[in-house]
Parts: sequence; structure tokens; C-alpha cells
Amino acid sequence: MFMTDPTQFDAVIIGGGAAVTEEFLPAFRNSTASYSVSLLKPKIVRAMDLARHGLELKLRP
Amino acid sequence: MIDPSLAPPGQHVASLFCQYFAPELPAVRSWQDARAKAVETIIDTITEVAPNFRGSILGQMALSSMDLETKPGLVGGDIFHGQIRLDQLFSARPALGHGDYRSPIAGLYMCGSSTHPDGGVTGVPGHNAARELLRDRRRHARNNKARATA
Ligand SMILES: Cc1cc2nc3c(=O)[nH]c(=O)nc-3n(C[C@H](O)[C@H](O)[C@H](O)COP(=O)(O)OP(=O)(O)OC[C@H]3O[C@@H](n4cnc5c(N)ncnc54)[C@H](O)[C@@H]3O)c2cc1C
Repeated sequence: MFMTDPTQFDAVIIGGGAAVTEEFLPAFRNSTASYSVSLLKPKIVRAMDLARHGLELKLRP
Repeated sequence: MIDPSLAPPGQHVASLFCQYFAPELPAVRSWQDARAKAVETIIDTITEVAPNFRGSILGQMALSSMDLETKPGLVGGDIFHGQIRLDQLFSARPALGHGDYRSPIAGLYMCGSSTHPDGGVTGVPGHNAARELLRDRRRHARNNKARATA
């Protein structure tokens, strides 16, 4: 574990930075900036146990 | 639709990453005024090759470089928090003398796109910053121990 007691501050309430998912139209959500995950390091995904935190990667057909 | 939670049944979302637009427009014009025209040009261009594109649009949201600066706070709309240029890479990212994730304020660390190895959702800047933070903690612990025994 990298931190035991992380506190997050963000200037924008919605959070997620440039990797945000937003409801841009009622009932329609999308990644409004960054749109594909290809660079995320598997080593970091494992070390931070991101799957347990809800990360699920889907392959684009 | 890979993720059905994104749109109602039978409907879809699309995202277009469009290059290149100047972050700053010539005098007086701002992206506030130019955004709609740019959107039309983009939709027209796609409709040329996919004729039913325009007609199938229910709504859209467009983020110009100005909008990306307002939220999520990308200066100049730069998607990587500072260009990936030879003079802003490796130990010169974000600036020469500050490439080791330590900020000028002791105990305050930097990570994210503006630090090595720059942009993209990689997790690497945060990983490296954490590594340096732990290194400093170990060094402090060693120094404290040495002082206690001295
Ligand atoms: C349009 C677009 C498309 C992209 N496409 C891709 C892609 O397909 N794949 C990919 O890997 N990468 C892509 N990127 C790049 C990627 O999104 C970024 O490199 C990545 O999100 C950077 O993460 P970060 O945490 O460093 O910064 P950010 O995601 O920019 O987050 C910075 C956070 O800091 C907050 N903040 C800013 N100033 C303050 C302040 N003063 N006080 C408090 N909080 C503050 C902001 O609100 C924001 O939440 C894209 C980026 C953009 C803009």
C-alpha cells in the first residue's frame, strides 16, 4: 500500500480529472476527455489492487 | 455498445478527439464564440463519409481548449499538462532541477502528467512519486535513528 490515510482535494467537484465520465445529456454518459486505456501499467493495477476498487478493463472489439 | 450503462437501450455514445485547434484565437474571438462553428465543421466532415451521422445526433457536448482549461483545469487546454517537447522531458519535466517528484516545499510531492513520464492514464508518475516519498521516509527514519544513538 502506498498510503494509509489518503485525503483527496480537487478543484472540480466531479473528480476524475481528464479521465472523467460525465452525463453530457440526460441518460447519456461518456468519457468526455480521455477515451481509451492503453498505457495503464499492469504492475500498478496489481500493486494497488485496483480490481478490488472496481477497475474493470474492457477490450474494444 | 460495450458498456450498456452509458446510453438508453438502442442508443449510443460517440467521442471524437479532434486535432488540431489553436488554444488561442486571433484577437477578440474566443472559443466561447468559435465553439459552435468548429462543432459544425467536425460533424460535416464526418457526415461526408458517414452520411447518416448528422441525422442520428440527439445531443452533443464539445470541449474546446478553453473549456478544458476551465475544467479539469488544463492550462491552455494542453491535454498533457505541458507539451511533450525535448526541453520538457525526462529530468527537465516539469522543469530542470525539479524532475525528482519533490517540490520546492519539503514534504510536498508532485506527480501527474506534468512530471516524468508525462501524459496519458499510466499511473506511472504517481507510482514514481510514491517511491521517492517512501525513499525519503526511510532516509528520515535512518537519520533519526542515527541521531538517537549518537
Ligand atoms: C481530450 C483528452 C483526451 C485524452 N485522451 C487520452 C487517452 O485516450 N488515453 C490516455 O491514456 N490519455 C489521454 N489523455 C491524457 C490523460 O487524460 C491525462 O494525461 C491524465 O488524465 C493526466 O492525469 P493527471 O492525474 O496527471 O491530471 P488530470 O487528469 O488533468 O487531473 C488533474 C486534477 O487536478 C485538479 N486540479 C487542478 N488544479 C487544481 C487546484 N489548484 N487545486 C485542486 N485541484 C486542482 C483538476 O480538477 C483535476 O481533477 C487525454 C486528455 C485529454 C484532455
